[in-house]
Amino acid sequence: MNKLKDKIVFITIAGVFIFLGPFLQMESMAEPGLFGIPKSYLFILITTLVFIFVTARILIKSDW
Amino acid sequence: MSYPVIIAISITYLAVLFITAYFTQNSKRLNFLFKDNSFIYAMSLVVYCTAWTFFGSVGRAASTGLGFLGVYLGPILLAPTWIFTLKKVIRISKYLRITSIADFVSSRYGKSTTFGILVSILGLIIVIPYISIQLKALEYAVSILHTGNTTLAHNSNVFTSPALWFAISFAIFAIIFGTSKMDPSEKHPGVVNVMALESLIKLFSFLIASLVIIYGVYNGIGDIFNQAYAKLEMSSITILQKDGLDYSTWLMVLLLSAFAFLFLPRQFHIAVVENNSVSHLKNASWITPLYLFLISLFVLPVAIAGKLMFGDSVEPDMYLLTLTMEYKWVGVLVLIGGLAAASGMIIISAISVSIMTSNNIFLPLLLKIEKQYKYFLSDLNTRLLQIRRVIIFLVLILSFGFYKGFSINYSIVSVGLISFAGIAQIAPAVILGLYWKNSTAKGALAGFCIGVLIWGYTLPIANLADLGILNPTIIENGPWGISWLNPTSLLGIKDFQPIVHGSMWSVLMNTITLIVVSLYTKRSALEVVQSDIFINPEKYYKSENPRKSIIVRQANFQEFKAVLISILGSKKLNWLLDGYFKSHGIQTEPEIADSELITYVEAHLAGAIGTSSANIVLNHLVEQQPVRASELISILDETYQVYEYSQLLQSKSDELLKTTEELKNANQQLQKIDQLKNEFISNVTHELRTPITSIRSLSAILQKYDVSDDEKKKFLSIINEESERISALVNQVLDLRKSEITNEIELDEVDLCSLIQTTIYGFDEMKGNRKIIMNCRELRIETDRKLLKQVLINLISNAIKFTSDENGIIEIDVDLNLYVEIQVKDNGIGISKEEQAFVFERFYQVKQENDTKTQGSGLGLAICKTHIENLGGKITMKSQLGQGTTFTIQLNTKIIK
Repeated sequence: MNKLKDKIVFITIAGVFIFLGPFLQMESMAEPGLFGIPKSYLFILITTLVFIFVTARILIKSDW
Repeated sequence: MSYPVIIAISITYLAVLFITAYFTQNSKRLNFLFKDNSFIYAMSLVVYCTAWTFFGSVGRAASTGLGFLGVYLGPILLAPTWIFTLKKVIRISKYLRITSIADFVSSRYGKSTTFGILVSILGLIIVIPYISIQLKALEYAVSILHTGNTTLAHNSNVFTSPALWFAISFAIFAIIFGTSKMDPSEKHPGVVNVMALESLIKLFSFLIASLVIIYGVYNGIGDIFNQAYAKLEMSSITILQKDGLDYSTWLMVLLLSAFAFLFLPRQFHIAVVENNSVSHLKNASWITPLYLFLISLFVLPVAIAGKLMFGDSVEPDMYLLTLTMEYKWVGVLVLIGGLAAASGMIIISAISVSIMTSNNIFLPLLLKIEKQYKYFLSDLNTRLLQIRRVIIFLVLILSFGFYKGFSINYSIVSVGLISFAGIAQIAPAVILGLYWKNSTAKGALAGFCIGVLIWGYTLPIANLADLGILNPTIIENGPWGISWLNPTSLLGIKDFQPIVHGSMWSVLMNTITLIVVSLYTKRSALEVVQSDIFINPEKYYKSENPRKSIIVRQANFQEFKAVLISILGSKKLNWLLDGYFKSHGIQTEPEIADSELITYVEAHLAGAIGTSSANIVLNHLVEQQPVRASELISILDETYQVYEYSQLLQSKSDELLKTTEELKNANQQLQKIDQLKNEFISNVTHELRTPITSIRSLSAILQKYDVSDDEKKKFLSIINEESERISALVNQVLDLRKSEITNEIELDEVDLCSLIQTTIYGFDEMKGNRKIIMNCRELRIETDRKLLKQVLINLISNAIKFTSDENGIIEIDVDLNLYVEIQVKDNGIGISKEEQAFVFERFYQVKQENDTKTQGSGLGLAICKTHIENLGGKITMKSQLGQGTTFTIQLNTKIIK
């Protein structure tokens, strides 16, 4: 249980860092990226998906 | 699209909802299928996505770009922690049969009726504008679908307004499926299943409509963004910067959304009250975030598409519908999606608010105001349901009125965010209540009141002034011209958006007040009990024994039963009592309902009417003493055990430190001893080697060479002397070792003068022409004769060695001051100051003038020092080169005479 708690705390801190970190304030993030989509939007979509995927993997693998 | 078709679609959709709710609630097969399903639970949680999401997010994305995402990222970020935080809340709520967020807060703070009432009022204040914007979104959707613009919404009168009929339909649904019976568990499986179905519908319709806009109206996402980069200022909507979406707003929206997902009355109801198993959280913790991700995936492209096509000519909230006007079936799908988003929120909000207000406002007020409350209690079950139905109806009608009066001028998102900031005022009391046992009802209540007042002043009032409904000078110059009281820049802080400014001040002051007041107030007995349940729910939840109340209560059983029948109904009550009597081996109904029975029934009663009301009802019925002594002792015992355990740990820790220190010292001592031992062995071997070498050399000469008789005699004499020297050395080493290892002494009555005299006699031959003078005072002391004599022999022997044969004088004085003092003085060569520090060390030999060693082993004085210390005394020395040396022995011994 403690191991699961550690993983959850880690993924949450990582998420907070991604979404509250300096990335979304960078000028270069306003530029178009893949398919012309703004880099910042791509960054959020991809990291959110990874965040959800990692959370799901941790939870499904746990015996909680 | 013609109006009758739109009405027909809406009615059909509502009919589907009714049928779904009815069959999934009443069909045992379907109920079983849906009851223990974590997917249904996860889908019902996204009742969070309302018309705000469906229509408003596009509007917000059109003005703030990425700003719309905060509302979804907040809950997504905290979702992994639900398996700990939300699990705790669910377990507490199941154990105490909590029925609403107001009930939860009230229960934590000693079943405070006042707190329950205030939280319920706040819930009501927040939910009415929130429902009003849902109705607005629906009416706008119908209007656009019918006329292509919002004229219908603006021109319709009260009775021709589609919003009114939607409101009435939702009220009927909520009344039928939310207040059909008084269920102590407050679970509504039919409603939950409908919520889950609606979540799928709104996601499906939003994704389809978005794809049609992206690939039907435009040529893909690339086309939309390429046009946007060519025509729009993109940096203000794609990154966080001061002139567009600033960092503080982004952070605050994330925070408010994370709170709102759990503390909005409807969210608490779905997530906690309607939860069937905490194990559902495992899947909900990732399915719900995935849903939020999917529903926000195409919001930005759709918003930009709308902005490119319509600019400001169409209200951004309606971009989704306006962009799909060309595809009528998509328009219908959007209407259905909007209906799903709005109806889900409206129905569950109406039900949760009706339970919350009836249990926490109306019932306590009725019970308190009406002195002859038995009149109400005679039919309380039915009356309570009637009250709830009236509340549902009133809430929806008031929301409709609010929409027509105010919300028609508001954007959907602005009302939503203000509501989020309002509900965040519950967060400090809940969060600190779950983890800080010393938070008191007074502290929480004071913090909540301060927070709500600041929220009301800085957000709703400032907003009304901004719209011109209140005097706009309030936000221009501050009330009465006092600029630091300006609701949009309190204390002159102007750097934040109004939502950040209002939320920050209200939540901050709320939290500070709660902590400060809690530190200066004490918890009541009931608060102590309740706080323990909230902070350590595992202790109670896992316990197989029923909870024992620490409050001693008793009531007349028949009166008790009569009142409870009116609330729970006779069937339910008999079932409960039968179960209790059976488990306790009670055959007949007792005359008196004791504490245990009252506590048992109270838990079920709380499930029906809330903890606060249940407490009030029972307070009218039962006699009670403040605290059961045995239970109080038990709590104190537990506290004392914890304290004792803590003390024990501290003591063990201290002991460990002490032992470590002792071990460290012992280790140092051992190292020192080891070093001394090595030195000692080295010295002994060195001292032995010299005479042995001499003996070996002389015996070799005698063996190999033919020497004269005189030389033989001389050599044999030297061999004999060296052998004696070895023998003396070995004896001294053994003596020293014995005295160092064992300090065993044999006390005897000793005549000191006689002992000294006898010792002196032993030196008759050795002293030569030296004079030995004795100044002795008659003393009989208790000491070890052998050891003292050995010391005297060593000292006199040394004195003889270092004095000249011709004029050497050795004086032995005995005196009695504080101690018995024996002085051995000589007028010999004396000892230099440098050497004085080492004379008592083993094997140290004082150097003579010709720089050669004197005869002896160098152990004599070391032996003297050890013996005297073993006898409980000390030996000191004074000396001057060429003047002589004085050794003083001080013995702290028993004087016999």
